[in-house]
Amino acid sequence: MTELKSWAETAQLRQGLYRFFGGALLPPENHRTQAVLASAGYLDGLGIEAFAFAGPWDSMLDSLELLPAASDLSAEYVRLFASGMDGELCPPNESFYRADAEGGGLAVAVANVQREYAEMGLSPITTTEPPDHVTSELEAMASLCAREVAYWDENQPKEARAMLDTERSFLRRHLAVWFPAFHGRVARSGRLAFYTTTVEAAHAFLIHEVDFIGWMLGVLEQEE
Amino acid sequence: MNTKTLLCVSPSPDRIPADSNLVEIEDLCRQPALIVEHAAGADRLVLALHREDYSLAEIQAQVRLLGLDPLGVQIWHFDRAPGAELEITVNGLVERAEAFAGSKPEHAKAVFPKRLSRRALLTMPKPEYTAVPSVDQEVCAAPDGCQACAEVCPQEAYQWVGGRIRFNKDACEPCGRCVTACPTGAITNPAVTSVQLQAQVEAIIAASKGPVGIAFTCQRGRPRLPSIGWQAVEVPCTAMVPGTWLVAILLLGAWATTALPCHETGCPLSQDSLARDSVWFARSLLAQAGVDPNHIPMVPGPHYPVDPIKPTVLKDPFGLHGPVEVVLALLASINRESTIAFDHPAAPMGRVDINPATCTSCMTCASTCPTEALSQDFQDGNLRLSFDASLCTACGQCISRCPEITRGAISLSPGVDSRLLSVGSQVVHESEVSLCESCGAPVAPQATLDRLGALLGPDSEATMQYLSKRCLDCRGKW
Repeated sequence: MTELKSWAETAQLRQGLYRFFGGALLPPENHRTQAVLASAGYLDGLGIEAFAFAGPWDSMLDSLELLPAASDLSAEYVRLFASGMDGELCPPNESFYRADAEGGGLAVAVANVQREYAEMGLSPITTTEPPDHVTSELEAMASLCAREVAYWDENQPKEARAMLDTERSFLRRHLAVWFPAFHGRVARSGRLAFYTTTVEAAHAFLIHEVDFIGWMLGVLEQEE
Repeated sequence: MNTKTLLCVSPSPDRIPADSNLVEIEDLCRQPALIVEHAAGADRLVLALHREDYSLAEIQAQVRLLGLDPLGVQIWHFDRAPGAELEITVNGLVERAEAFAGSKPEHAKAVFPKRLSRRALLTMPKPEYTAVPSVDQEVCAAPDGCQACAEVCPQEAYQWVGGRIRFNKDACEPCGRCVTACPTGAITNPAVTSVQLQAQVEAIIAASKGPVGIAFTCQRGRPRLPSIGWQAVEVPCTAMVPGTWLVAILLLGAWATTALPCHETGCPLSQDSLARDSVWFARSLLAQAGVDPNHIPMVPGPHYPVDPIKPTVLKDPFGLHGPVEVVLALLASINRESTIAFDHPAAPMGRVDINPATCTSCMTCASTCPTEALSQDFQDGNLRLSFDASLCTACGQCISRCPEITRGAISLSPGVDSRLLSVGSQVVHESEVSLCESCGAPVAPQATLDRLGALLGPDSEATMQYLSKRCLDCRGKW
């Protein structure tokens, strides 16, 4: 039977993907864009072809090769995620998509996610993006994956499994709920392939993550 | 379209057709990395493999390296050296592969490998993916109350919650029943579409130099077919196959057809009887039409009846409206003047009857009917319920939702009635509507008010006067 890599390496790859998508959806400052491009190439060499989201990932890589001018990228970022001018606004924030559906307004949705960060021992360090920003939530997932890596490295499979449970739970309660609507808006309104393909690849990755974490937990269960 | 077919040549086949896109590769089953080397530039891929222990995960990874969607790759398992029929099989698979329209991320489900390594904790096994269906919520009739998918799913993967269908991918063991049961075509599985099935069937028939039989077989069980004269069309589970699909294959030009139950040792989803029921229905349909039912044997054998049905061009026989198209085409192909009418529990169409004595004209059936086979209109002071048999899929949602079902207000008889199929919409029940004494607007069907009065009892005369004589707007002025 062919094997992918160690569980720690897999968690590390997933951590890297969460960080990559989080970085790509921050304002496109020049140094950050360069880092995003470099990390995309690095991650691509780590065996992404083994996973079902490889198709959208490849489409995104193609679009990254044709990167528009920095000013065009910045203008599109503002138009798409901040102003909504001449199109549909696509706020990259959980509260926008959940406040109306669940009541309580924007503040409650933000407070809920902030409370969960605290319960997981996390605290957003950025002062520029709110706690329910897509990057904050992707970074939270990356942090959980980093802990999982440490547990695997320390040969603590039970703790690693518990961390997988936490990852799945957070994912199901947050990103998996609102990201599809965010993706839908970006797909309708986006004009630069950089953002449309990145959000599409991120969505495919998140859909895969919900399944794949369950799959990993199932494999571990059989192993016991 | 550039479709490559890679054939593992161990054991060596007796005959390879002169097809430039068919590449023989020694021991491909054990060396999936050769796929990238030999299929570069291909748009679609067909793999012919003979070993049972190949790594599907590794094959899928190699296919992704080619930039192809693994869910669109046709994999043919052959357990004996392919001989004269190789070309026919490959032609069918190539056409099916070329008809693949792509999948979405939600269609891929990671499944457990057949065997887990003892070292699974040290090194993770690669995930294998299978295609699962998805629901197009824009087309889904769940907001009107339809729960057809939830009713047929053997794994309870579908749940109707607050007017929306929730699909649990984890629970799904794809069998395709939801796909053929969905009355609106909202549920699709990209690996088994009506376009793909038609392309494969037509290609098999076109490549066959003589009589050919085509059997629907289950991907899980892969039952054996006679070595000569029969071709397989794989579906996730033959329980999904309605009987009209079998008749469609005959109309497209095959001499015989059948649907084989999932597995020799029993269907893991306990749906063995459904494929047999479909075969019985299809045989009955042929018999009613005056055609030899042995064109559809329960078990495929080496001999077919000698008089095939005249081939017919069909638009979408395996699609949403396929059953009606097939029945009408069957009757047209045999030039039969008279009508056929028979009931059969496995028919993918039916007839709705209303009992005027107990129907309260509440129109729940019409508002629930996902295909609008039942519809309502208000004309000349009467509320009318109409039924169009050509739109009915016998999904039974009207029965499930009728509040007077215990009194027999509505009944559904799955079956075929060729006269009903061709007459279009017909009024099946009418009820006078009580009008507002004040403004003349409709209040409610008189039958509904009568039923309400009966339920409330003899002391409700004043209440019923209030409810039946004034519309909602005028009640405040009472």
